[in-house]
Amino acid sequence: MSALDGDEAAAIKTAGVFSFLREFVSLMNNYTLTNTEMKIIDPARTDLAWEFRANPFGPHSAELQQVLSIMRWKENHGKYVLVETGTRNRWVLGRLPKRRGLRVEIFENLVFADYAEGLWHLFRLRWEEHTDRTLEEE
Amino acid sequence: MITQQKALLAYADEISRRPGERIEVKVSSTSADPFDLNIVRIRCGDDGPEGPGLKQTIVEANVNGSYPARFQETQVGSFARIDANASFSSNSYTAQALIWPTCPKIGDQVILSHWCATSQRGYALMIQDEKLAVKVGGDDGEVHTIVSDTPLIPQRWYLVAVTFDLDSSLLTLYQIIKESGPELDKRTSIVSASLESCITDVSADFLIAGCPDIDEENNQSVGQLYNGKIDSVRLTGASLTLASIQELICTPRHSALIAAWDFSQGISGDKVLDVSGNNYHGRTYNLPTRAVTGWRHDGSEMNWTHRPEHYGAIHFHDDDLYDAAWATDAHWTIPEDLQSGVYAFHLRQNSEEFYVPFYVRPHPGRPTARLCLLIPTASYYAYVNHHINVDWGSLNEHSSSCFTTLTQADLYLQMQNVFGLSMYDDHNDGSGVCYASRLRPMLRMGPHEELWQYNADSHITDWLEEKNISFDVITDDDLHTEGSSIIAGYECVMTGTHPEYYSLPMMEALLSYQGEGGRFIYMGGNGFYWRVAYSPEFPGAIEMRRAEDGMRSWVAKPGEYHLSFSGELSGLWSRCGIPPERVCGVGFSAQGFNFGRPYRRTPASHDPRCSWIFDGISENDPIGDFGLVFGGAAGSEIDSADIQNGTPSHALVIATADDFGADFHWVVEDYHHAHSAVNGETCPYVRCDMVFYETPNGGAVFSTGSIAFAGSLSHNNYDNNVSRLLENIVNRFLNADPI
Ligand SMILES: [Fe+2]
Repeated sequence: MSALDGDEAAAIKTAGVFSFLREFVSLMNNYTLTNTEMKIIDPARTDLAWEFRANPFGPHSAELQQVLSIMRWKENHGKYVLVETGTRNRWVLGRLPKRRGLRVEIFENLVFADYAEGLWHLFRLRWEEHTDRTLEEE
Repeated sequence: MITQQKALLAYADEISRRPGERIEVKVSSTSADPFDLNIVRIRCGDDGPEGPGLKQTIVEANVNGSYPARFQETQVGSFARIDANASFSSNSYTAQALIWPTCPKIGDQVILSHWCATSQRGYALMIQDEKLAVKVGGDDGEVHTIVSDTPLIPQRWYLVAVTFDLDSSLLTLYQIIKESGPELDKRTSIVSASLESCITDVSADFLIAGCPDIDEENNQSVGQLYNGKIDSVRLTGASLTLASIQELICTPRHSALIAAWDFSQGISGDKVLDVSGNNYHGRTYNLPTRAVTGWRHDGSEMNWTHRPEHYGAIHFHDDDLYDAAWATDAHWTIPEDLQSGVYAFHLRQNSEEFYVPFYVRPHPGRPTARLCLLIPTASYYAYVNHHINVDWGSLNEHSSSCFTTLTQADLYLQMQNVFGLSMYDDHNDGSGVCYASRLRPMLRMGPHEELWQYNADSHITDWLEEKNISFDVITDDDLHTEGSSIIAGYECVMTGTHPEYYSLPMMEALLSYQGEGGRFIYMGGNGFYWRVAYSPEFPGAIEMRRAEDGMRSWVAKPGEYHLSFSGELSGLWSRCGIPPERVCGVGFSAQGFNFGRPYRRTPASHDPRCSWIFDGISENDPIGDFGLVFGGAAGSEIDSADIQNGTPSHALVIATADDFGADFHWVVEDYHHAHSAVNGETCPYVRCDMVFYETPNGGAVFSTGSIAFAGSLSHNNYDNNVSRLLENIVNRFLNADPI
């Protein structure tokens, strides 16, 4: 129990019933991809980003599909997600922890009144991660 | 403020009851405030922005009222227990087992224990920081621990043992690798220490895969749960040599032998049998996985029923949960005059609520309607408390074509292990979850939830009530137990939106019903897909193995395709000789979770055999270009007809939906080589077929082949061509004249 970081110790305390301490292991789904292993997204193709902004639900062009497929290869730990708040038309940004039993980090100040807006936010975060460039709103 | 833990939780002892029978509800809350309980009949749970709204009525019941709340402890994790016996405490002893640890890194995990938590006396053979260890709580009041000198490698077989010799005061720990290989040889370790303190008269059970624990409030539980397989446990009242320990594995005979537990016996149940002759039998708790390959498995046999001795292992998990075993807070006896249907205990406490669903069926042989709605409870159990949205990670995003979006239920599941896992999940050690049970709080089994399974099926009850079509409900559990007799009295049987998990008796019941002239409406997609078993030994549970093929969330290990409950080969029904096409004319063909599409009529639909289905529907109108589930009647998981796969040759494909786009993916079992022409843009098999065909004795089958179909029924105040089409079908199918 000594090797716990603060985050883990807090999670165990709040979860109460949780007794396990383990790495998030999964036979199929625990892709741990480093930045160098990720497929490349061309930072110049901001036109595809604007396509997503205009139509996040698709259908998408073949090139945008490709970009999205690359973005979806993403390990859980630290991944930004949307979280339903239980209130209609209200989503917040969240971030996944390392494994079960740890809290999803919630960014209560990053609220989206529209699901599409939330998806666009996630797209921008992943774009940044892949290309090292920020998408400036036109 | 988003809460990540749910205070109010509950479940019931039963799910399907008939008048005169009793149902008990078990409630636990971390809040001490009283909770309100009402019995409700549920017509519709979809209160989404476009949905028909929450439609539930309170049933006047003597059980309705306010109740004091309490917190109930839950033992999560599987283990085996053999009741305390004086002969377990021997001055000299050997405790041994074969183990296949799955995650030795994750902290203390006890393999075998004879340990009294109160007095801290006894011994426990365990894994500590990746290494084998033994702790001994002696008569001197001290706890002594010795540890092996090399880490255990995951997923390798080891012989492990502890011996204590009173005369020499020598405690020895054996960690012997049972597999060969240049690096593996170094994984054997034998360490000894002198121990002046012996153990006498420890009053404790013998536990396998856990150790008794006690907290400040004197609550007893089993902790330090082990993850992995254990095989061939032996307990001897003497300190054995390594040669004798080795010999005991296969030949459990020795003058000082106390017990030899043979897990290859009684695989279908919870008994742990002692074959030493002393009959120190025990039982397992929380459904660890049985019918798994043991240390002797050599690939010569893949079916445990043929060679049980190769299946002498049990796979224990620290997150197994079969029965939360809570005490009852309220009970209700179903009144004689209560209409068959969908009901729930609706619990409310402060700002929280919880639904505990149950179904009221009629007395056997006394239908109260001509239509039977078959509630897919087995499929509900399979999905209940799934961790897909978080744990599937990339797979979930690829498959749904959307970035991860969590619901409130996902947050609870992430934080509270009291819900257990689903058949879509991996255990903490990475192995797949084979069992699902309803004897635990079930999330997403009530109104307000996502339109999937339970809540999506409420579109059907909503429509039936809107159209004044009276119906009885029968659950999968009833169909499995009673067989076709329970549906024989109905003119027509209608399924839910996703009846995916089926047992052999359930399949046989439907085929027999269809053979006798019964009319069958398949209202779903991806139905009759996985083969499951129920067990009289584990009421409320089902078992499935994700064998060989299919759209799998995990993959069963070689040799572990056969169900422990029954010995049957599990996996896809299409690989077990009864393809879904034989039951409903269509089989799973593709899935996509962002758009639905309308069907369009085929030339075959003008055949007088079926043209009546389209009465009142304009010739060229798309059918269902609207809907609450992805915006179209054909969508989500979709099926198609294929004579090669078992669609009857006289079946008529009366409507088809295609043009599904790149986000719809062809099912993996239908393509046998790798290529990229597998989505709705490139693959002609990404298609949804609506099918009609006659069956013997004046019966018929109608299949939508789409999970999304029912979501279109309420469009335009129930006045639309999907609703009209289904109404035509139901009216005709309820008419006794032969079809
Ligand atoms: Fe499914």
